[in-house]
Amino acid sequence: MTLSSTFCTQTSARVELGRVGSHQVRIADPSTRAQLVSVPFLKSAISRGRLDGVATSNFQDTQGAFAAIDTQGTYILRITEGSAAGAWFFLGSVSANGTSVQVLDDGFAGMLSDLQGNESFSVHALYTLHELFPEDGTFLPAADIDLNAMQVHFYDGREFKKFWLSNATITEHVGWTTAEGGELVYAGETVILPGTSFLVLDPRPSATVNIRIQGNILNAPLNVPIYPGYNFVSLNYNKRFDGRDLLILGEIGLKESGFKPSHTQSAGDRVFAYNSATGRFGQSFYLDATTGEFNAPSDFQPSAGFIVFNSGEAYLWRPLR
Amino acid sequence: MKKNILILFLAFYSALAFANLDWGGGQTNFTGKSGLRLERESGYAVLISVRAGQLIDFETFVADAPIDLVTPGAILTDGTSVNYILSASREFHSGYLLNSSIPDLLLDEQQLLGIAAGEDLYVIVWDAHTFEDGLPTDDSYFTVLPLYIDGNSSSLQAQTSSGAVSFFSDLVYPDQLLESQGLQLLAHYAGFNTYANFAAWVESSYAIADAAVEAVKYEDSNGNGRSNIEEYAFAAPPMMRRNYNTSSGAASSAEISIPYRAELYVQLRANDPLLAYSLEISNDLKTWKRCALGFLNNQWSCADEAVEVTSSVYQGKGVWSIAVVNHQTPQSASFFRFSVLEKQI
Repeated sequence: MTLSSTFCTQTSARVELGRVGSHQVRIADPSTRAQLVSVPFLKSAISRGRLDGVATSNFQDTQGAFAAIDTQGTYILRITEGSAAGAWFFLGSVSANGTSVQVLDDGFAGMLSDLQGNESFSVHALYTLHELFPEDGTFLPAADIDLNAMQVHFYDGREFKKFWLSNATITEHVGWTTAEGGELVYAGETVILPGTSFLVLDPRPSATVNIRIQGNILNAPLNVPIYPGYNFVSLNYNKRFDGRDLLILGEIGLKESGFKPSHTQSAGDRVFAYNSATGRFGQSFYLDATTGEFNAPSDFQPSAGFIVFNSGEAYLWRPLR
Repeated sequence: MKKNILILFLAFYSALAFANLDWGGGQTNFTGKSGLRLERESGYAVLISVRAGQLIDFETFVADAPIDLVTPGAILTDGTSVNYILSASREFHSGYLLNSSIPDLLLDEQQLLGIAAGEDLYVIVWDAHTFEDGLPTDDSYFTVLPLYIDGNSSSLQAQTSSGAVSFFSDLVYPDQLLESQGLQLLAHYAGFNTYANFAAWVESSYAIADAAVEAVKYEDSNGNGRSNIEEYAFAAPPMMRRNYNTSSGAASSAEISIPYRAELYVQLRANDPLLAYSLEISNDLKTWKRCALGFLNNQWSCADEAVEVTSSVYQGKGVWSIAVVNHQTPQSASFFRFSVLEKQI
């Protein structure tokens, strides 16, 4: 793997123009209620290759590229070239010699039926909650109950699933905690899906907290499923954005992916910015059916989440200019 | 055409009038009757809103059925006050009703419940170990607390809409300064027990038909020497205890006269508005002075200043055990009797 030694330093981001980059994400800011953030990278690939076949529910690679996949993490396989570039799949169990791997949840961010079976790919582990947000209570506040602790809320399409940092006063563990079946369970291994954004809440009103995230700068799109209703999404860093800090709403592939135009603000698909001061929606945008452009200019930085409202059927967003 | 436009506007407005509700117990640590912290199996919380009037006084409220008190969607009506049960949860962990563990009450759920904007929000926390068959009884324990946005009690009480148009949640919980809250005695004194009036009591006790209720009032159905109405009105026969003052030194005088204080014990029923109790006092069994016994704010009292109700202890099923002391200087003899009048309403 080649690492670039060239850096482009910006106000809140430092991006390597090579394969690996890092980004400083502000997760707590005085006088704000919650930050809507994302992970703008994938982890560096653990293996790369070219598929030697696609079966009903598994991938083949005769050179054993899947041998590096263990049972501890959650892994995805990303198609990096060709017409299906951007599709990615959750991976399950691996054959003994690493030449075959099970595909889980086909259709989530790509369709096996769309593949030729000879695409180039890379395999990545997904970031987990405890990897991104230290859970020992020294850097981020851990507490006896949720309201006194650091919290992370993920929107699941209907409501927010909530996680908080426990100091083991009322739980049997220190670390990320969520309610499951009436129990408070450890949830540090929860994975963060590519292209999603989530809320981070710090109980300290005057705290300023930044975290630095490192990862792989992609050279191909990475699909983001857009379901009917509200979707908390974000942009990944991508070489094709030429290191641009600000990404124009009209140039990030939404229009081309299935975002539906309308004639008014109140009907059809919409994009919402997030207002961290109020903890509510900020400005909203619609795709003007007459002009084919969004009704107002806007841009979104990688790591800054936004919300897409889909008034129709599900589609896959390919974030590319 | 105008009519159609108006309907569309109203539908749009109503769909956006609320925010999701992230409700819970906040910083408050709840303990039950036993003094132990509430857990999932011992705690039960309901989110309640006031649709009209005021918060119902649950210490005196007569619900149609116990299940109404703990079932989301139930509408409780007491006079002009209308309260809605919006949601329920058992997410108690070491005494805390964790906001993050309770699913938010979503916009569409609120609309299904028929919630309007501006309804004050409260949480009722029950000690489920004092339930019977999974439901509250008049011996159950509970506490009611108002909810505030972010637990900030210096602001207005939380309502079903903050006015903001959002599907993000309003975080509501009791006063953040209220960290510990023991549950108080639930006094469904006029509650949903089966003995809310004489007819219910006698029918339950003696399987008497409706038409015969009046006729059996003064009968002694169980042959214990007390009439049915007397047994109903006084759950147990009155008793008297003499508390002697032995520290006065009177025992050493030639003329033995040991002062004492007569303490009267009686069991009365507070859940039947038709019953009016009195204590009657006489020195000669001919002339009786009557003082009415009243029930207010969970305490019994007597209209006569010389007569003190020294304790009021709830026994359940609407029955109170009270102790009464006559502070008037005893004459040669004092006689007491309790009476009950059945008011005609």
